[in-house]
Amino acid sequence: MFTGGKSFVSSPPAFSNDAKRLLVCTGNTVSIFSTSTGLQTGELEGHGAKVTSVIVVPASTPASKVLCYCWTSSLDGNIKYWDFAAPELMKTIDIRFPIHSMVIPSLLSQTTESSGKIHDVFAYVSTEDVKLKADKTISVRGQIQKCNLTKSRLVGGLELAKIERPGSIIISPSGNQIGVYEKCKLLIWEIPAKDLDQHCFKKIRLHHTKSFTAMAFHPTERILAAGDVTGRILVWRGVGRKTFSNGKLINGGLNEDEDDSPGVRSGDDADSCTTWHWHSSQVNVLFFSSDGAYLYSGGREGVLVVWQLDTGKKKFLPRIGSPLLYYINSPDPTLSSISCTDNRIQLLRMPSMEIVRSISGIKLPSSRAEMYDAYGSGVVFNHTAGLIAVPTENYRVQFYSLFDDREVSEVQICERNHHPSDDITVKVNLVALSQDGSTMSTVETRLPEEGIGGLVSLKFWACDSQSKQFSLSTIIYEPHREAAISSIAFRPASHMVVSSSHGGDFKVWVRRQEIHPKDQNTGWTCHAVGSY
Amino acid sequence: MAESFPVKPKLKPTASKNTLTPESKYWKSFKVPKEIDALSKSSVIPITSLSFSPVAPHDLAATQSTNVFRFPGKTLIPKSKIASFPDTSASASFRCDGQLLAAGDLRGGVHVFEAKPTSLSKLKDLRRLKGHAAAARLVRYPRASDKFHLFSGGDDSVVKYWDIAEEKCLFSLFGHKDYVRCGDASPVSDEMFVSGSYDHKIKLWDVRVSSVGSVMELNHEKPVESVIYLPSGGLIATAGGNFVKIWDVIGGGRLLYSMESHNKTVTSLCMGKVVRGNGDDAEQNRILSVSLDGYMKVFDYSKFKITHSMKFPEPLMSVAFSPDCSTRVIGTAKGTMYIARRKSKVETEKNSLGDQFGFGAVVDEPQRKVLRPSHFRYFHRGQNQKPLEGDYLIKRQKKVKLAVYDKLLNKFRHKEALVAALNGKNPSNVVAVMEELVARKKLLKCVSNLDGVELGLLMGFLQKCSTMPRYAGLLTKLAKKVVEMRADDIRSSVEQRNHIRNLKRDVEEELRVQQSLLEVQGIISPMLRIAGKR
Repeated sequence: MFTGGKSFVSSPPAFSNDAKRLLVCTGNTVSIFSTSTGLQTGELEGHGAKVTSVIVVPASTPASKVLCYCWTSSLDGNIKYWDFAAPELMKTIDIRFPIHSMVIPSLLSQTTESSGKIHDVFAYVSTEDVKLKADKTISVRGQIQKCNLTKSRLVGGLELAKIERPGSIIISPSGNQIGVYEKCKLLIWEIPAKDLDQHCFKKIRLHHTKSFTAMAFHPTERILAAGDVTGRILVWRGVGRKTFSNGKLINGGLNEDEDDSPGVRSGDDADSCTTWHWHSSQVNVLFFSSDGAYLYSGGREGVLVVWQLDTGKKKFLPRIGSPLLYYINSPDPTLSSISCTDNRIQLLRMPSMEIVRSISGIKLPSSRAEMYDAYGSGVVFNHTAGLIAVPTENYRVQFYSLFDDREVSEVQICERNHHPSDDITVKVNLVALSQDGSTMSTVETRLPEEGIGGLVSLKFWACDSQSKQFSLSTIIYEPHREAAISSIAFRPASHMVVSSSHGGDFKVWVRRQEIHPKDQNTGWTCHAVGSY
Repeated sequence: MAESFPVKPKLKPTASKNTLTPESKYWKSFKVPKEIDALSKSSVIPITSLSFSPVAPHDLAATQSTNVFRFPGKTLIPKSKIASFPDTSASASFRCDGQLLAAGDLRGGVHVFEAKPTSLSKLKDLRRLKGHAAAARLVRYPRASDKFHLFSGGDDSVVKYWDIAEEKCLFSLFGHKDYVRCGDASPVSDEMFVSGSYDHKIKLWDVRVSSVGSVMELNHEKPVESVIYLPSGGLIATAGGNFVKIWDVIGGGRLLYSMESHNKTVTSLCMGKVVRGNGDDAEQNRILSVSLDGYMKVFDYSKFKITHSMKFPEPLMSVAFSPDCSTRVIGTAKGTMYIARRKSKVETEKNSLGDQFGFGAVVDEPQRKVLRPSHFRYFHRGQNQKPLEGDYLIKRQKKVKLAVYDKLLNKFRHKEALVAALNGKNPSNVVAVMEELVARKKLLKCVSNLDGVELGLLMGFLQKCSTMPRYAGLLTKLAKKVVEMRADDIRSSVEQRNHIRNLKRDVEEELRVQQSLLEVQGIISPMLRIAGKR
C-alpha cells in the first residue's frame, strides 16, 4: 500500500539557498521539489503530525550556499533540525505543545557577527495550550513562546502574548521584529540583536475596525502593511518610532501632535497610515519585494497585484485560477512562488511575472463546491493508465497519476474565465472515461438565474494517441431537454455511452463511425432513446 | 496564467450540406447556361420527346406541338425548326450516323427527313411511311449500324418494320392488345428491338424470326410508358405506373429489381453517365427517370440504389442525356425545357494552351537596389522572408481577439456589455453574452438597469429573436421577465408600447404556428405508430 495526494499548501513552502529546491510541507513530511523540473526529489520524514513551518538556514557567506540545513516545526510538539541534502535528521527538540508557527529571528540577523562567540539560537513559536483544551470556558488557547534551540528548551516564564487562536507569526526580513495579527489588532515586538534568555520585549499594538488577515514587514524601513477581510490594505509608516527608538525621544514633541499622523488611530505608534482598496474580498497574501519598492498582494480573486509603494500604482497577474494563499520569494531574485488553494504551487519568473512551472497536487473538490453539488461523480478511475480524472472548480478535469503521485495533464472542459470569488454557477458535474481511456465524456451544468438560461451540455472528448491530450469531439446541448443528467456510463470495449436523466429517460450515444464506417465525421450521435 | 476565453456563441450543428456525395456533386454540376435561360420557356405545349444525335457534336432534337426542333450540339442555340407535320409530332429518332431523323405524328404517319436541312430543301420530308391506322407514338432507328430500316409502333397496337428506301412495310408485328407507346432498339444488334404497350406487356422482337411473333414477353403490371435497353444489351429498364423495373433479357426475362420511389407515373427513362476522374471505373452508367411528380431520379442499377434526386416545379415528360456527358435536357408538360450543361474540359484545355505562350518571352528583371540605412524601407527589410528548411521557428503567440462586449465583461461592466452586444448585428453573440451574464447571475440586474433607449433595443431584439427555435429557450423566459420587471417603463413610453405590440403580434403568430404544428403531429403520430408496429 502506498499513499499520496498530499496537500502542498497547508503551510508556506521555503526555497533552498541556491533556489534550486523548494521545500514544501506535505502532511507529516516535508517534500523537496526541484524548481527546474517540478518533480519531487526527496522527502524529510520524521514528524508525527502535520508540519506547520519549514525554515531554511540562510547562507551567511557565498561559500555556504551549498549548505542545506533547515528547521521544521510540527503539531506533534517537535522542532527538528535537518540536513535536507542527505536527507538526514540532526536534532529534535520536544516542547510538548503543538506548534502552529515558528520563526527564528537570529538566523536572519546574526550574519554580521564578527566575534567567534556563538549565541544561543532562539525561536519564537505560536503554540496551543492543550491542557486548556478540555476547559471549554477558556477561549484563549494560543500562546507566543520563546524557545532556546541551542539548549533545546522553552524559555521558562516568558510568554509574549496569549491569543485566542494560535495563528502564524510574521517576521520582518531583517529579523528584528516579529508580529502576529489577532482580530482587529496587530501585535509587534522588537527583537534585540543580542538575544538572551531573559529579555524584556518592547511591544506595540496597531488597531483597525476590521479583522486582519495578512501582514508584512518592510525589509529596511519602519513600514508595515496589513490586509483585512474586506480587501483593504493598510500601510503604516514609521511604525514604533517612539517605542522602539531606545527611549530617546528626539523630536517627540512634534510627533505627539495628532495632526501629524494622518490615518493612524489614536494611541497607535505610527507616523501615517494609508489605505489601498482593490481587492473585493479578503487579502491572503502580502509581501514586500526584497528592495522594498513593491508590495505584492493577493486574495480570493486569484489575481496577484503589485503595488508600487511610493505611488500606489498597480500591476496585475490575472487569471491564476484559484485563491492565493502564500507568496514566497527565493534567494534567486528571478524566481518566486505562489501557493494557491487548489493545491498548486506556481513558480513565477519574477520581473515579468510569468508562470514558468507549476507543482500541482491532486485537486480535491473543496467543501464549498460540495454545497452546490446535489449529484456529482467525483473521481473517475482509468484502469489502463492508472490515472484518475478529477473535475476541478475552474471548469477543468485534472488527470492525476496514482503510481507517480503527480499531475499528468489538465483539460479545459468549459471555455469560460474562472472567477474564484464568484458563486458557482457553472459546474462540471460528471466525468466518465472509456475503459481504454481513449474517450472521455463530461457533463457540465449552468445553473439558471431565476429560472432563466439554465443549460446542460454533454461533451465527448477523444484522446490523441500520440500527445495524450484530449480534444473536443462533440457537444450536445440539452441532451435530455431541460432535465439534468443523473449519470453517464461507457459500455466496456465499445464506443457507446448511455446517459440517464432526472426526466426519467435514458439515451444511448454511439460514435458515428460505428454506424457508418466510411463516415469521415468522428462525432457522436444519439442511437436510441428509452424511458422508464 | 490561464488564457482568457472570449464569449462564444453555442456551436451550431453542421448542416447536411457537407454530406453531399460525390455523385450528388456531379449531378449538381449541371448548370443552366445563361444564354439558354431566356429561350427555354416558349409555349405551354408539352415536349413529347427529346433525342440526342449519336455522333458528335450531338445535336438535340425535340418534338413539341406539330414541330421538330433542332438544337446545335455545341451551343444549344439557336434552335431551328426542321420539320412540321400535319398533327402533333412524337418520338424523334436519329439514324446511327446522325444524318437523318425520323419522327411520327398522331395521324399515323412516320416521317424521315434531314437532320441538318439546308435552306433549299425547306422542311420537306425525304420519306413518308404510311401504314399505321392510328397515332404513331414510337419511331426508332436501329442503333448499331443499319441505315435502311426502322420500326414504329402505333395506337393501333401494331409494330411495323420498314424499309425506308422503298417506303415499304416489310412486316407488321402483332401481339400487343393496346396502344404501343414506347420501344427501343438494341444497342448491340440491328435486328433486336423491344416495344412497350399499355396492355402492361413488353415484347422483345427479332426481325430474323419475325414469323413466330415476339421472342419474349414481359409483364410490367402497369401501362408501359418507357422502355430502354441498358448499354450491355442484356438488360432492359421499363417504366410504367410509378415504378421502374429492371429485367434480365438474356437470363430469360428475369425481373432483377423494381424501383419504387416516384410518387406519380414515370414518363420517361434515359441512360446517363457519371464521369469521375480517370481510371477503370471513371464512367459509370446510371438510369435517369423523370416523372409527373416533378422529380428526376438517378438510379445506379449495379447497386440498385438511388444516388441522386432532383425536384422540378413542373410535371416532367421527357429526358435526354448527351452521349458526351455534357448536357442533360428535361422537357416538361408545360413546354419548358430544362437544359443544363456541365463545364466541359475543352475550356480548361484552352487555358492551358494560353499559358504556353508565356514560355518564350524573356522577362527583364529590374535590377534591385541595395537598401541602405538611409532608406526607410531598410528598417522593414526581411519581414516577408520565408523560413528555410532547417530553421527553428518561434511562433508569435496568438492574440485572442476580444470583441467590445468581451472587454466590457472583463471589466465587469455588465450592462454596457449587453448593450454593446445588442448594438451588434449578430443575434447569436447577444445570446452568448446573455448566457455569460446568467452564469454571473447578473442578467436580471442588467435588465433592471437599462435606460429607455437601451430597453427599446432589448425589446426590439426580443421581438425579432425570441421565436427563433435556437434561442427560444432562453429568450421567451427572458421576454416574460422583462415585461414583468419593466411594466411601468413600458406603459409610460409610446415607443415601448409599440415594441410590446410588435412582440405580442409575433407571439400570437408563433402560437398559431405551434397550433398548426400540433395538428400536423396529431395527423402523423397514428401513422408512425402503425409504421412502427409493422
